[in-house]
Amino acid sequence: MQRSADGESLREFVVLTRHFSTRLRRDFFGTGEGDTSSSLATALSLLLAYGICVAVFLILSFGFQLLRATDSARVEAVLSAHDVLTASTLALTGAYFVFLWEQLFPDRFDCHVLLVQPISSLMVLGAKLFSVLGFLLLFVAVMHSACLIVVPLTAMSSGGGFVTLQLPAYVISIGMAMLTAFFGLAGLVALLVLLLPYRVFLWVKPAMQFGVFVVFLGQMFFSPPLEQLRVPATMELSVFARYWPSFWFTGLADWIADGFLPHGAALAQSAFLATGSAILIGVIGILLAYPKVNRIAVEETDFCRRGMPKFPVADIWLRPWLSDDPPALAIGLFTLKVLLRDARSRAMFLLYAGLASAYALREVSGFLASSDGAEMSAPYVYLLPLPLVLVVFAMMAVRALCATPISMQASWIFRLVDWGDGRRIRKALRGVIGAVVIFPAAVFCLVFHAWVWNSWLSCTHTVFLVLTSLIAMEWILRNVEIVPFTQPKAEHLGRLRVMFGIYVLAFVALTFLSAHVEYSLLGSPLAFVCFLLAGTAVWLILHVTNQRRQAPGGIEIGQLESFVLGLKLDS
Amino acid sequence: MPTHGLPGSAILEVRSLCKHFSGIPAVADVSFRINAGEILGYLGPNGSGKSTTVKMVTGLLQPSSGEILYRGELVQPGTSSFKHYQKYIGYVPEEPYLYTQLSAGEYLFLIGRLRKMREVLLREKIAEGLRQFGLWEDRYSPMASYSKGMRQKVLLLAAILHDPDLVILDEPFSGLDIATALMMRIFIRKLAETGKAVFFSSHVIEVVEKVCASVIVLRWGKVVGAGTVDSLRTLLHRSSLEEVFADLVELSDSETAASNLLALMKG
Repeated sequence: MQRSADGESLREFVVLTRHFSTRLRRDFFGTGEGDTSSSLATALSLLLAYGICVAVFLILSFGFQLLRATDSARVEAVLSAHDVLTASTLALTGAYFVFLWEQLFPDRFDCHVLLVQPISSLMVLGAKLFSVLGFLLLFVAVMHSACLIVVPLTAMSSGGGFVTLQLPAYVISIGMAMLTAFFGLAGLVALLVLLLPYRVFLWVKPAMQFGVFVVFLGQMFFSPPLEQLRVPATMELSVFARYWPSFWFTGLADWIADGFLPHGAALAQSAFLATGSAILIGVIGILLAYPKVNRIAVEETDFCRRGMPKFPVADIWLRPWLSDDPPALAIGLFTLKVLLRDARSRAMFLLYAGLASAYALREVSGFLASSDGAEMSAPYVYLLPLPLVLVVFAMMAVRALCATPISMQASWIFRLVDWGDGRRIRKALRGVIGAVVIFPAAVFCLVFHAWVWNSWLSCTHTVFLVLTSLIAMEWILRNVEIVPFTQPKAEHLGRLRVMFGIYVLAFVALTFLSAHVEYSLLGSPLAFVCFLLAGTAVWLILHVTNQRRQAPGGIEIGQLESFVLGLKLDS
Repeated sequence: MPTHGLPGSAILEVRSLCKHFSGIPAVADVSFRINAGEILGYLGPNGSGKSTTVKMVTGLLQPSSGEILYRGELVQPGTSSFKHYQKYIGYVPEEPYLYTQLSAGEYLFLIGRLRKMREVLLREKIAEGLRQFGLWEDRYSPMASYSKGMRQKVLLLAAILHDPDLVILDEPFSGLDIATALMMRIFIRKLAETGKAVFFSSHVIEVVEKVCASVIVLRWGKVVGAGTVDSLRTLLHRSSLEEVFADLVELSDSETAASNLLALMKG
């Protein structure tokens, strides 16, 4: 009888897990309009490509020398690979978590549909967590698929247990890194849910998401040199090496594979401790926060008036900017509010901003470490493009998001109302980007650099930033023809593989080209004025071209008959 | 506090149910009982606490105080006794909470499996239900493409698949076409005839008047009137339930409100 009840529970758990997995695939990776599989395939292929790039890099770095390499060279190659792959796993888990933040607990739909069924609410929670973890496992496995073959091969001919244990060492260390990051973050979210009033939590959440992106992506850039791990057993590890998460799991992999790190056992111990604590804190936190989340999910529709994020500066900026054009103002405000309030859009925006911020932080910290801060009073060529990098990444995020529909059912209103053409939408988006990206960046740039450098340099740097941002904005907005978030399908997802290459090229051009151009301009007022004139001309050309561009004429329903007759299909 | 409802063997009994949100009462001291074969109407204007009561009775909301009894046994929310009670209820929520990416068949199958129904029987019931509700042609389409009425039919089907003792309906006719609404009205009466208890929450007075034997009227979370439809009419010397309702909830002058709206439209 007991066995039968257990079997039924297991069957229900499987049904629920499958249901949540399907829902996750459709809701999270799709737009609800049938392009689900292509979005998931795009995400997986990008991860696979990343894994292959790391594997190829590994072969190129060490492969040609392997035949002649010493054992220590092989060990170094494997260690380096483990470190990069562990850091990548942590970054992937952090990014995944921020996107799946809302999916950690059953949502309002789950509560209304499932909690009235005669099944345990803990089973619902367990199935939800299981499906979220299942997708993470899939992503991590795909990212590591190429390296799973290459890394053990790299260690080959080193002999002994080191080779045979490479595969389990790899799998265990990466799996534990993934679990540590996932449950650690889950515990943090649960703690915030428990401790903060819900209204405060809504305010803290975007900042937390941004922080997680920066920390988890940043740890890829900030990783201390591996030499710090190879100090003799008689010496203490540095504090940085002792507490750097990716080193714990690199040390663990080395320890399992019977490797050569003198402090491998201590690092492995830290890894076990971290994973155990993270799982414990995560699970307890989730269990404690679950009733409160359920209560909020159900009561929200009954009574509670939750505060929604507002952005008064944007309202203040947008209204005067677009006051002469009510439809453009309406589109601008709509875009701005969706950007701020839609969870998936916000997470995507924060991913772009987090990536750029992590890069900027790495550059700044590298500079500070090398110069002791003594040269902060003068412009440094490699720091000059950082504001522009941040601005362009944020603009690209806005552009990518605007091509992602949020609600097919709700977009009918834009089809009913005559809002004009693409020019009006681009005008509205200029206002939005100005409000959310360029204006705050320019103000910060002006004030910060006036404090660090002097007023003249600060003004010049800010003018350079604003002009190049405006040019980049016109370029980014050139194909915008439909009201943001109302497309029939997510157009950018299909082109993501192509866009990825363009983004990388744009990033390289921005960081190197603009840095050197601006640095040379700062020393010569005449050259700067010439650049201003040339830049303004470029912006003007792009702007006028955009203003003249019109969407290809659609066929009105009333014109359909004459259009079809015009095709002369019978001739 | 008196318990409203007809005397008899109660399937569901609610005693002094209260719900406070941040100290503000949404439902205050509500008591009623529903017997086997009875349809109890739960009337009230928007925001009067109808859905909050329904959610407490189904287990979605934890009552601030009060008791819920199923067949005379106390069921405590959050305990196994409540899960046992949930096996015998069918619920149609006010909002069409559905996983719209699923087809109607997939959704009903999910609910049936979670209610431990045998697969063969479940598939038969789903097929027959979809045919009866005119959803057979759309059985493979995701519910995102369904009209409001079609979604409501799916919710109704999901509520009755497992042959519940107690059917809890929160605005069940919302979005239904006239023919389906008529069919549903007859179906609800037949449900009661077979001994099921029906808790019918609505603000559509005409439907409640035609379907329910007894009625509870709610205003600002409190019961302001209860009894059979006839007894309420007699008590308040009114010819229709609509007039009784207007008296009990002290509706504002509809003519003036309509004129104000027209003035607003013209600016």
